Amino acid sequence: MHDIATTSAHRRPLTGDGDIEGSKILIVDDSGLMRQLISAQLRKHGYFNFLFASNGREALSVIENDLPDLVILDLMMPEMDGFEVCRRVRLEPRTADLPVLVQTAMTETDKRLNVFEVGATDMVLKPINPLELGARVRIHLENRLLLRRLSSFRSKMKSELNLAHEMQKSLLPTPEQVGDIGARYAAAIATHYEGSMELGGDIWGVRAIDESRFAVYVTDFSGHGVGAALNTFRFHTFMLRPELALADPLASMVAFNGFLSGVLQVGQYATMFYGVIDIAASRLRYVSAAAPVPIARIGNDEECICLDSTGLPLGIAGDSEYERREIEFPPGSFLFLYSDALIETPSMSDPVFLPETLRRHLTEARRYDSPARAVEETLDRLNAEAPEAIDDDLTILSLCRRGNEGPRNDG
Amino acid sequence: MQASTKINGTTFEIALKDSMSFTDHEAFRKLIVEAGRSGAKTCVFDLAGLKAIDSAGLGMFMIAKDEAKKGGWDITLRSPKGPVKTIMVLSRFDKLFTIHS
Repeated sequence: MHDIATTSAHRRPLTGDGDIEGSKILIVDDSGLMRQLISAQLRKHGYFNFLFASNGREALSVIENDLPDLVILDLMMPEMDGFEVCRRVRLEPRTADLPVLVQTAMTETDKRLNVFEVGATDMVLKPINPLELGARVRIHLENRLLLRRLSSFRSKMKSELNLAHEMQKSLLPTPEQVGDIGARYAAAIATHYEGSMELGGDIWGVRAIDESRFAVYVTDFSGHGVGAALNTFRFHTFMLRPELALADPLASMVAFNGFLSGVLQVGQYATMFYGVIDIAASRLRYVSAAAPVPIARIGNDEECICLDSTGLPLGIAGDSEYERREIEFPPGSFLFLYSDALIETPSMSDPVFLPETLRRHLTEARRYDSPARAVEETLDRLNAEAPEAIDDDLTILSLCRRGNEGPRNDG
Repeated sequence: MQASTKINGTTFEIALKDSMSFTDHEAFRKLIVEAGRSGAKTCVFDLAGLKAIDSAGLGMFMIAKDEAKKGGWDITLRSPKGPVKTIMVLSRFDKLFTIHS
């Protein structure tokens, strides 16, 4: 016959030594002798914390008041039988996962399957073999402990991720800083930022350069979650370097690429739009590393246009070459930048927006003088047509140059 | 991602179908190893059946390019379509790979 005792003694516990011997075990049996016998058998295995009940009703009362870690339950009892106890225990959220070991005789074969139907965790055959009892009790207590630890680890992880999320938000310009830049350069700037999984691979920024120029950028690191987020911290720090020639989009992009190619792993990359708005020359000069197609409206034009944003992503090769581009950007002009979540929700093959439909949507909306409304209405449409949670980090940065807005559609 | 491979002289062909995303990382790595071991001089990825690719998927091609460089073989991408073609055009993959339509 298989020697459970030897197996049990030689098996390394999944939990630490002594972690489970203090577990509270409720023994339910209408026979006082059986209750004594079972507890004696378990004492030999090191357990010492016992509760007792002689029928189903008592058992439920003890479970309610003293929440044991495991229940050994006789089936045939007066007042309320073991089946009913199981049923009720499983109904309560508090005890839904309480391990219940049912005692059953071999002859009660028709009842054996029923015990699992009513929610028993396991069964021990009568007459009870002390070694088998010890082994089964141990396994279920260990499982319970491991599940509890997992749950507590998850809670801890969640609070750490929340902290990281706050730290990541602090990388972004504050509304006051954005407002200051807007005031300084006579521009209205609106932004939206929402990370998936609490942490994201997106980062955007606005920077004052000199009396007539400011920069805007949106950067999106490949991947999701913690890895992509860590790269945003790297990038943010790099952007603080004083020697960066922020007025020169090409030189800047080359610098960003040089840095990222050196630190990113093979297979990681970033897409980015970096633009400098020159209010004296009324120009937007930009470089793009495969950024999602920006939408722009030039001066008082009725229609928006899509900008050419083709380019190698950042971080692939240190010597990648980029292209300088420039458009007129007089007062009244409008720019709409975003991360690829906007054109890949709910899925890449059937998104709500594609660059061309986004262009049309913004043209129809005619919110050129109010980037905040443009952003809001775009999000409203996205949420209306794809109400399920967005799967990716979503960033939007939109701005317009105040001044001559030109003919407005609302009269 | 569904993949099927075949050897054609000195060319190792991998046909990819459905979509490529981060869960296909392991499977893709195995394909690259297989391509390297085959001794082929060129690995052709047939993308005609590939419907979608995310940033992790694009990254996998970059890893493939890196492995190819180390192994002394080269990569050709064939027939990217739809959103896959769009993203490859946007990312100037023509500068990284030989692409045939």
